[in-house]
Amino acid sequence: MKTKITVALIAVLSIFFAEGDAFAQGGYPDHAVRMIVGYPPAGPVDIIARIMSDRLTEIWSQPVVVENVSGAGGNIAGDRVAKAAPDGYTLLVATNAQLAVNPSLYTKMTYDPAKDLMPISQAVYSPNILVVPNDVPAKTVQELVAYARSRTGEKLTFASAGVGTTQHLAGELFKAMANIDIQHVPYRGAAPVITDLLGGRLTVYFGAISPLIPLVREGKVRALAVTSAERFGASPDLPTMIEAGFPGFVSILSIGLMAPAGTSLR
Amino acid sequence: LKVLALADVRAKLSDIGMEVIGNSPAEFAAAIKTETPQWAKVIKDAAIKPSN
Repeated sequence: MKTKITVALIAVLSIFFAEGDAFAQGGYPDHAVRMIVGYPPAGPVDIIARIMSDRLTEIWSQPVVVENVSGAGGNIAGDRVAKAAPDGYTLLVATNAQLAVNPSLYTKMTYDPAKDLMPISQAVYSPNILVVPNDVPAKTVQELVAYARSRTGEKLTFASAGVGTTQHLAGELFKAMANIDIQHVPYRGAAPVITDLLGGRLTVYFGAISPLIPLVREGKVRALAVTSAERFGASPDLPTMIEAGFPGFVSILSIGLMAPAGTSLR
Repeated sequence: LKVLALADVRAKLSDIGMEVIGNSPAEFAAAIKTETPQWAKVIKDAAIKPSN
């Protein structure tokens, strides 16, 4: 007996892996499915949601509609799906930030991601990379730590695309594990960080890999490590933070599909 | 056709720095369960408050 969640899982896997087709089973879905995205259009989560919705529309022969409900770090979207009918027709395109960070970050959660949502599959992930401007002489993470220690009293900074982002948390984790004095500077998004990075106005940046890789290749910034658990395909020469001497240091953006808790059975 | 579609999807993913996980519900739940306490400690120790 196939559950709806199983059908949805097979469909998700088929987006990326499928050899055979995953047809609609047990009559599901027989009408439009909504995919709620807690982040604005054109960002990475939205792009993944649209890849999934396009393929699921094809596979299911039913419209799969993306709805962007941004705000409160994705909590508004999470809450909406947590409280939706558990019938398989409302799904959340969920990030690990929504699920694993927000419950600690927000004192007033209106739902419990661990109890009120049901996991289907983590579809994709992207690591951050640790980069420094060219005027910071460090070629390795250990050299960066030594550099920071030698500059006590100077105002060394790490940037992020905003307070509470995975990049901010990665910077704080680095600061704590390395026991160095670097000050967080939050920016409004990644674009202004990159401007200041190129201008040498900050010391350390854990940033999303895709906009940084071209700058690294052009020699405009220096990458020291990747924050995935294992080396990443797009940057195979870059050591992980774990290899660089920071056990357990993993900071990724993962994007998956969740359903309201209780979604199951035919 | 499907193979082309998948190649297209993979190219799109690669462009935005993504790789496929595609795990099971239990593995998904376990990953979140592992990650949660790490960030809880960072948020508490650094006294991070959300900006919105």
